Amino acid sequence: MKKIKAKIYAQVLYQLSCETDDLDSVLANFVKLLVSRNQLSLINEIINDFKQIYNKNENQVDAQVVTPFALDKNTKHLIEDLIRQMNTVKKVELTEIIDKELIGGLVVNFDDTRIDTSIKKQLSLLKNNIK
Amino acid sequence: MADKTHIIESLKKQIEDFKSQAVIEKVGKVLEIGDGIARISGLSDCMASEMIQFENGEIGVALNLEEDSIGAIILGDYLGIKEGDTVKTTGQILQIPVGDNLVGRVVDPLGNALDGKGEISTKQFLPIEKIAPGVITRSSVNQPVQTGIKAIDSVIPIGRGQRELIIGDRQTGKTALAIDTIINQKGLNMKCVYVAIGQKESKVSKIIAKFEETGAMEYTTVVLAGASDPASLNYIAPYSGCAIAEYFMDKGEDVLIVYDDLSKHAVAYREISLLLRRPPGREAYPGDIFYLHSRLLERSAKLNKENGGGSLTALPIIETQSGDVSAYIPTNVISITDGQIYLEADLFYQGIRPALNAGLSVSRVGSAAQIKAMKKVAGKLKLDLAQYRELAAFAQFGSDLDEGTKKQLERGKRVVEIMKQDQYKTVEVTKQVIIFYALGQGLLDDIPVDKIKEFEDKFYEFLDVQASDLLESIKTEGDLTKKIEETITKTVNDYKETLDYLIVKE
Repeated sequence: MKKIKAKIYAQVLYQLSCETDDLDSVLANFVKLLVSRNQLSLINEIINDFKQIYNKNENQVDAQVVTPFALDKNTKHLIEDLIRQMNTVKKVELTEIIDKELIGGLVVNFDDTRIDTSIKKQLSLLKNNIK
Repeated sequence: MADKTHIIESLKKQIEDFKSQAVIEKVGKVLEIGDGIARISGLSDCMASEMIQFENGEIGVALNLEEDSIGAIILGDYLGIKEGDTVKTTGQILQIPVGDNLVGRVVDPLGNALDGKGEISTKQFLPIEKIAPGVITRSSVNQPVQTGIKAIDSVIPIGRGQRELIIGDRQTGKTALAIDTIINQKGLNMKCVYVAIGQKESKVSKIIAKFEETGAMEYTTVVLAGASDPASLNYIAPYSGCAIAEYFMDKGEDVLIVYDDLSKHAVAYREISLLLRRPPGREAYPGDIFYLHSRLLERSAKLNKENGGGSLTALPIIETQSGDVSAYIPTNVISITDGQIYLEADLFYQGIRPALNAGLSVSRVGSAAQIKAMKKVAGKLKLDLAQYRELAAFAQFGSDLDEGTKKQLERGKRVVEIMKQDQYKTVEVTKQVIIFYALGQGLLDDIPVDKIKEFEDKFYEFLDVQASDLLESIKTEGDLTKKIEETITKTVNDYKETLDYLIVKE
């Protein structure tokens, strides 16, 4: 029996989820299939690939903002707008992480890109600049 | 005290000048790490052989660009890198600092100083991989490289811009030949680069000490990737050395580069390829192993006048296993280079050092570069040597040989004796011409074979003291005129009169 790759499972699952209304039974059957093919260990990979496929097709992006303290709503909206402009996507899924080590400023991650305005980064740049 | 305030002032100024800015980077994540190879997700706009930087500051090079991951080698210590670390692109193809400051230094393949003589500051960087000069920019080889080794300069001459392979088993004197050649370049307007690939550091330190002792370090750069360095550094070492050498070639200078040795380079590349899961081929080497060496050795060139007229002469070294020249790597490199110097263990143990096999060694382009005087004497020499080899085989069977054959054998024995040369004792080309001329004219036939070596050594001293005009005239003339020939004959005969072992015999 040929092993099927996680990416293909994810694609199939995405297509099914678009076509059906009864997502629960599809998922249950999907897991049963994985068990019968002895590939349940792929589940994490499939979830990751599924996320990517879903984001691509729904024209949205997962973003992450790291700050030393909690952000207010307005700032979050500003960041979402910025990402939308840079990436030409409709929807931005923003998660917030608090990291005191940054001292100040913020770090935005989406896709392969990282925008770093933190004090920590500036200090390390300054350190490299001074000889 | 003034120093202190000065430092503080300059620091203040640097801090004031510093402009803070938002940094936009392309980042990826390490998926898998081990054996000096990292598999990284993301980095979708990474270029082939682009430098990438890991969280702990180590530099890597992207080699495999796949659909959703890249395979990279790590140049340095990979033990500090963990799965999940972020990696960022630098937007630069792998490059190293080059410049005049590198002369006389020992550096690693990334251009960092290894000799403890302080940081090397250069302004210019060159990519380590570069397309070789094209046909339009090249000219034919027309100037000699004086190796100072009699057997090579006469029979297998090397020209500037040539690639001459030195091949042989372990412990046959391959490195010794290359080292002697570098030492002999003193005053010959040549920059040298010695690239040690996977060599024992004790051996390299010995070589560097010798360079320093003989003054060769004044025009030499040593690029060192030791046996304990990761395969990635061994893999890029010859390309780094070549980039350092090309800087001088592009300036119109003549450069000699020694790759010691390319069999270890091939092994390092095989290791990387297998870890990157590229399919193995013959002897488990990857499919592009030929291209690995051909693209390196094609960068040796003699440029034409319009392009500065510089040259890059390469002496790659290959180590064979028990004399097997038909293995994969030796045959590849033999076919790429413009000739090979074949060293044999048997000859080495017979005491013929350098242990050069004159039958299998060739130089395909070098004879065009020989000076005229050498060309004249070398023709006769080659003939004597070839005839001797033919006769020596059946001369063992009987002693009843005619006069001509005997004479031929005696001459051959002297030729073989003259070809012997101790390590670190290079001979100037003018002296070589004189001794070979004397040999060809039969002026040495009355000297006993076991005294030839002694005769030769003392004769060179005699030439330095008594016949400096003769050496000078050969150097300026570059050819053997009637007058010079007569002077050589006279000088040799004059010298022979002072020898007691000749007088006693009579």
